[in-house]
Amino acid sequence: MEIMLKSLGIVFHPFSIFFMSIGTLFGIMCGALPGLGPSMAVILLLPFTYTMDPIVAIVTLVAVNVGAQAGGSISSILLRVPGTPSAIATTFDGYPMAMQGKAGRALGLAFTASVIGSIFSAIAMLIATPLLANVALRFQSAEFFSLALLGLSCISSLGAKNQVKSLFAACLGLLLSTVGLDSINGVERFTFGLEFLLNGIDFIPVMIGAYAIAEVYDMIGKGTYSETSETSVLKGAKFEFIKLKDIIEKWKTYLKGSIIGTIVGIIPAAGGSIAAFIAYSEEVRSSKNPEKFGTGVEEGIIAPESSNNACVGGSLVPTLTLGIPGSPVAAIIMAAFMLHGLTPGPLLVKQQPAMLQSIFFGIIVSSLLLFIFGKIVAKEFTKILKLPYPLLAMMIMVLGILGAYSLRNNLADVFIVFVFSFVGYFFNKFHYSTSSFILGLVLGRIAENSMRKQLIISSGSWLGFVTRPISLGILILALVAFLSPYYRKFMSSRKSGDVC
Amino acid sequence: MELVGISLIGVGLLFLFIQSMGLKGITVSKDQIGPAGFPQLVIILSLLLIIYILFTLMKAKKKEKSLDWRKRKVLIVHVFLFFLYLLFLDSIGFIFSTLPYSYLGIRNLGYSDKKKTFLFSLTMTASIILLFGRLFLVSLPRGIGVFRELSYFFY
Repeated sequence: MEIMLKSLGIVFHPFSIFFMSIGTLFGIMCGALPGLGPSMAVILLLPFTYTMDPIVAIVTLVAVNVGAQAGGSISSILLRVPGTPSAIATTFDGYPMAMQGKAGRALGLAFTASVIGSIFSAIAMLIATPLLANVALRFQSAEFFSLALLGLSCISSLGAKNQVKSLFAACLGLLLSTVGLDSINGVERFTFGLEFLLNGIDFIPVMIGAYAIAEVYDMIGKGTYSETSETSVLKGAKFEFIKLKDIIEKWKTYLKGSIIGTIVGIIPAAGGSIAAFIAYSEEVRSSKNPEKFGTGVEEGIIAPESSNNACVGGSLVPTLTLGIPGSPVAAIIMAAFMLHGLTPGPLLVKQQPAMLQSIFFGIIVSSLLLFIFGKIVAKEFTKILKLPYPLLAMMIMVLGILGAYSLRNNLADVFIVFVFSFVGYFFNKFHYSTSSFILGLVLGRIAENSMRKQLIISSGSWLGFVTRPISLGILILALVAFLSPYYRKFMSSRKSGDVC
Repeated sequence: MELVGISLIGVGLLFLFIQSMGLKGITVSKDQIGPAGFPQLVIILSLLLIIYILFTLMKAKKKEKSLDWRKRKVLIVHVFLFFLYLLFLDSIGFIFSTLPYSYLGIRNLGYSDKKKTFLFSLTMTASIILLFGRLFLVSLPRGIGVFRELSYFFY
């Protein structure tokens, strides 16, 4: 109780609130701007925390992360350019919603889901830190492979119009993920002597090209742009606070996304983008209308946004208890601990008993601040939509290029954007699923590496994937998710056959 | 067009399959799949799907709607300008490539107000430099020679 009061005193001190507000606002802005993202946001603010009290410093940096994870949804929804990698899945339904004139509602849903996800993970972190850390340690190659398959399992639903084309697009994404140095043998694959391909193809430039730039081409090709930017999109662009009734109505989606995000966040090296994809897949699997995903479904925003923000608290669990960072941002926060003379790990909770609870309260406060600052930043960003389309199009093109270039300060990434803009245009025109393609690219490397590692561990035996209970459970879930659209189709055709 | 595109992808995949047969270097003895296994599996699956798609396309024989010439011209010029922008980005730097690119790009898309177009191009370039280059210290392309030297005045 004494520790709790001390933590409350630290977090609710006016200075702490002030720094957390700055952190959250800064995080949202960085998240919303393509090319920055959570890691960059935390790094940029890190030097300002040197002179702060260690707890206030850590809580401020956590607030930056909370803000950045949520902020990524803004540009995903409004421009189809994901601000952060973890906001990629938000584009699938966020942008179509914006195009239907529901940008404000989409933003409101994204921020509400982010708040719920963050708070859920903070509670989980406080209550079950040692237990969750043990679960995280049980995740090995077999479980990672099963998780990747679970993420990939929604391909069949994403391509509801043409599942063969969707599967084909995913295969191309998987193939693209094999480009570069093979991480097990160190063999160069499909690099054709090009040095920049050795590290593989990053999914951010591909995503910018295939989504944002291809969308601009599409609009120009159709020639409908002058009307769209001025009328339908703008009507619903005002940030909308989601009513409690609506939240309760979709409580399962919020809860599932938050649980998935927290668990995936705990697993070292998994991260928000994987969590968002898995949550999205799970939502598609359990939906009564999976074919509607990708056309502007509210659950398609709630699931990825609640899960990527739930990763914030989740990723801090192994950082605080084991000294193993759960994500790149957690690694930077771990560095901040060290800068303040603290060593994350089992001893931290004993040395700094108020730290864990302060972070817990910090996440809750910064999550609530998301509503205030989210509305402000989103309001400013939605002004972009007021621009006539030729101006907006050029802004998307330049910001897209900037986002790709700033990844590695490499012009090669910019040309990757160019190449994949045509792929995206082709996919849009002939109804191949770009989302499946991206899904394959993001999860391909994890799937291949973890499969091969597990086979090495089990001396070539495939049984290792099914004899481990967690892996088996996830595999069953993935199989059900993949087959359910086909089963539904089969059942409905049988029913209609009976009627005839 | 879809038929041609898919056929080209199919040819590309065959080429990659042949390439993958040369991927050797199994240094981990228990790695039975090896570096070529996974890509080959994906390529075979993709080729099977391509055969199915091609078969369906030929069966359907749907006539595609072609873009009208004016829209096509705008799109081609837009892509060409974009390509030029990327080409010059590294040699003349962010400022001197973004300004003309955005101006010409906007004009190509049919926005007629020259003054507003110029002001927008200038404001957008300046805002990006201030926000990304100066405030967030994101490195922007500087160009070479005199352009590089000039860029240091701005970011």
